[in-house]
Amino acid sequence: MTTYFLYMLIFLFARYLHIVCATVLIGGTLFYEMVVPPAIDELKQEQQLFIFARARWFFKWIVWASAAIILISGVVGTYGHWAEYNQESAYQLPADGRGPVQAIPLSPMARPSSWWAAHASCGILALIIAVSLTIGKVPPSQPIRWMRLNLIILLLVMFLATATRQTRLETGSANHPKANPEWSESVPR
Amino acid sequence: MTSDMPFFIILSRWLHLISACLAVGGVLFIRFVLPRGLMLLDEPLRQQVLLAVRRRFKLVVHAAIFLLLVTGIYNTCLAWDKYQLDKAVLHALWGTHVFLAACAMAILLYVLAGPQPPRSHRKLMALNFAILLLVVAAASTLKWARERAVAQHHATVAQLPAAIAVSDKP
Repeated sequence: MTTYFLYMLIFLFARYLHIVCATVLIGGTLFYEMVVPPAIDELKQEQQLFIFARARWFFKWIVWASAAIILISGVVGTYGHWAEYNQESAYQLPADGRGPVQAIPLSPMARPSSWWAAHASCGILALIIAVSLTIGKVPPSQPIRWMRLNLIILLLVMFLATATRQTRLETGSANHPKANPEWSESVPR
Repeated sequence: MTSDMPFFIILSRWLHLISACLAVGGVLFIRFVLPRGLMLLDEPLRQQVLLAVRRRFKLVVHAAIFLLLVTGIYNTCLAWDKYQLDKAVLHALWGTHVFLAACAMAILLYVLAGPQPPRSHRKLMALNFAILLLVVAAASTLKWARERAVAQHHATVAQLPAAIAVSDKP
């Protein structure tokens, strides 16, 4: 019971950290890219560059810390849901609750693993772009374009995360034989 | 209801998350990152930039609050049946999430109202950031508790036939 509770706490805390860091990273990027440039549009070019450079320097630490925590908590979260992501069938209870749990084969689009793979690969790509934009004393050429591209990828990553969760819930993972070992005999082989 | 429209469910959650990102990330940036970015500028110029950023941020926050309310009500309607499975825990978490979110929205609207920020705007923004983190924690725990309640409900339903069979025996 204690070990189970500890596992639950670790997964819950990892989920919380994953969401908070993603929120800070995406929200900060949105703010940096959408709010600051129009607001300082009337300043001289050199003043604009100065503000961007200083904000970039402080934002760098937030980006690096968020990227590290997102990766670690993502691995923990994936470990926790791995069995559900790899389901090839949906497990449904009969409508009246009587009879055996039914296993229905899933199409690739309905499998959580497909959405998880898309979420993880796009997420890693976005983190690499975000970190590379803040490495070094001088930003890369055309930083705003890179930030816009990264923003689009980050929004896509968020959509894929939501879709992963939705497909995971729709496969009826709560009815999975591994979640309820006593039912395994009733699942058709 | 839910299985027929997964696209709208995903879209609604996605919009809710984006709006939350705008609010949390924006508060973090305007309170902790931007002032340090403007630290070396002259005072009048710094004030000018901060006020200009504040005006822009106000528009973003109003849109985010509107989206948070609309998608939040929609998401709650979709999940309301599940909240009945373990009323004590789920209603407490949902209530905490909504109450803290309402506090955060009220503080944001107060701090961003009018052409000039109130005197205590720095403290209020820092407090608001802490409240927003608690809002996210409550939402995250609520989802976890909801999934757990649904799983327990399924387990109970699955055991019913066996229990009925046992009770039917003479």
